[in-house]
Amino acid sequence: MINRTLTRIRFRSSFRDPEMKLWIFLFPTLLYLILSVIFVNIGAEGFHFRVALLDRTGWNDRSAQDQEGIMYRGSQILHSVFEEISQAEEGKKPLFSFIVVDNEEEALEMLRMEQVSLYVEIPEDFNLRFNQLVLLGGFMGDRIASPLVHVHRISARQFSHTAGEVMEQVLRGINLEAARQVQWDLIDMERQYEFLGRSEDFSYAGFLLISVVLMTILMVGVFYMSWHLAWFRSEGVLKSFQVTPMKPVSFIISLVVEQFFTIVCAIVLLVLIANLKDQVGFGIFHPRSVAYLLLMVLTSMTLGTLIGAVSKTAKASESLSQFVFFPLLFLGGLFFVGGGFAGPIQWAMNANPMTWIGYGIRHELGIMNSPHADQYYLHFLVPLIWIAVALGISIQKIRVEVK
Amino acid sequence: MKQPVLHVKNIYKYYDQVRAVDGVSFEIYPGQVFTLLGPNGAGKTTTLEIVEGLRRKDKGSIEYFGRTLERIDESIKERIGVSLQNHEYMPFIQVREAVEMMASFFQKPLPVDDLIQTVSLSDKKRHLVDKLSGGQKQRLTIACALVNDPDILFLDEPTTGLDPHGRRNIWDLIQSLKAKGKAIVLTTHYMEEAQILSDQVCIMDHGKIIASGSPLQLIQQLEERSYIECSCDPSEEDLALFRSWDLERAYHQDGTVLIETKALTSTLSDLFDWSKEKGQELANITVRQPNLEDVFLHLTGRSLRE
Repeated sequence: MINRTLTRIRFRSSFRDPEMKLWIFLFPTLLYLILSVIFVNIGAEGFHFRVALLDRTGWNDRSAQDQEGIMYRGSQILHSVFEEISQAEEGKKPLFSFIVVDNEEEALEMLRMEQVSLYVEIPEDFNLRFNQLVLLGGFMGDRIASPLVHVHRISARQFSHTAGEVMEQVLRGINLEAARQVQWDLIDMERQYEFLGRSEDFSYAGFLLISVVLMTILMVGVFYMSWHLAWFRSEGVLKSFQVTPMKPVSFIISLVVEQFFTIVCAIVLLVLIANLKDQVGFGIFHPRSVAYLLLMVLTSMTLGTLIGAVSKTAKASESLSQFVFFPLLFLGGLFFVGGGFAGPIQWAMNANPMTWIGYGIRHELGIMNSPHADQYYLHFLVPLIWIAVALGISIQKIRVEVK
Repeated sequence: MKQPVLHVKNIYKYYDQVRAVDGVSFEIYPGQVFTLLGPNGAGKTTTLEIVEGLRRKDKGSIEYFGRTLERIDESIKERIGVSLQNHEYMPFIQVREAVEMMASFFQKPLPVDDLIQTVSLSDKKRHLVDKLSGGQKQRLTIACALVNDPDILFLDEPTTGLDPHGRRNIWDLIQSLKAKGKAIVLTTHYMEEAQILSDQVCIMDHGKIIASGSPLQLIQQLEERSYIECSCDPSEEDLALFRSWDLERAYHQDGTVLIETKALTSTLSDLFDWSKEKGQELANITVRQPNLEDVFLHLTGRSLRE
């Protein structure tokens, strides 16, 4: 099925194309180098979020002795963890800094003015509920209301959303801490939570490398696959093959294989550079990560085939590719932590296969927990739907044209 | 009697209400150069694309090597060579790679370097195809079409856009292939090319074959006629006057008058009288024997170049 000579010659000739060298090799490499230099501090110092803290339990008005008492055990755990995450490691900024406020108006005003990323509210009945859960949880189970901490975010603000995600993980960590102190399983102990954004867990270089790799794969498929198909068709190259015994499917496979090898070369180059510069990247060759990369290649190639099939000329395919590429790239959360956007943008992000492949591969590599780890099938399902739809339309279009 | 390599029987091709190919029949024998001659849009390329398997016919039958075929299958494609009109190559491909790639599509290809030598491109082997001149590119296209050592070779307007030298090279190549016993199907709108190269010519117009035979046979139809060509600019009234003389036809196109006559002396005399009377200069005046273009003009009333 594969015409090796055709594949080899196409592969060799594609490397003579200066545009391909620029966009598939040079541009991603430069992008990685520039962004990893600009945002070098993200990995080193970690994120820093300012939080307004309103404690309604009266903790702040109590003496140190009272604060140690059993009645304030819940608040005590919360405050000790908040204090812990407000401590800066040497040479780094702390993850959070808390500004204690006296009333909600003050907290909301700070949030509105974006002086803080979050407003955390500990309700008046928090300690009561905490103690009930500790003392009676074993007997009464679900009938006991959980102690809740309210986290207020600014809608459609990326930094606030990210801070909220990190705080959520911190609070889950507190649940674990509480369980350790009272020797009681307050939540499922099997689940492990990490403090997202901490320097030891988060590497921006690793995050960025995945982004650039996925972008490169998308570029090859969406721009090159589509352009070649449209160009070969409109310029009559396919016609010159049709008068030979070679089967069209053999040509398509050779084209896909050639572009696949181009992608492999581009990834190897990027990983080598990332490893030399930031000591990251070899994890990308882990089988699970490779599975995601293959899914990305398939998604990108089928999208390229679709664009090539519906475009009458190479010029039209170029325009259509740009129309598809940029939304997929920028609404795929590739260069920032996605989420928390206004409705339609969030829907577009959720419908974007890049979003899911990005989440999946970073989750597998331990770069960042996927926010949808509990619905893991979505990481495959969304891209597979795109592949099926793109392939279906392409085949239909090509059939009509052949007729 | 030899078996024809290709026998086309009464094929039709419709596009909506237009008959692009309208009942075309012909047969081609080994070692023969068969030419489809006609103006642009006459249906030559469509006819060729049907027999090459690129388009489906609506009616009629095609017989290759004594086998009637509904569609041109792989076994036939192994035995035919096709040089398409305006053949395009993959970008950034070298001359040798282009031939090598084409060779990889066939079961028993000829040695690539020999083919490149046949078309005199050995010194350009490592050159990018994009950098070749029009004539070199055309020779490469013929090399690609010869890669499977075909029994029949289709050349669709192989010399269009080439300079006289490039055209002459292609003609030499075609004649050497003919000498090797290949059947060659040529389409062209150059009457000189058809006249020099062809054993058999079919003149096509509006999808139909309007005349066929050897170039000599076709020209002999106009045997008693002479043609006067001169550069001048007569008015419509003048042309009407010409037509009242003892001549067959008079045409005016692009500043040139063409007169078809059986009475050469009296027509020339009338023409000179008119020139004197009107004060019109008769530049570049030539008197010649008929050619294939004149046959087409005679049959359709139009020039091949129109």
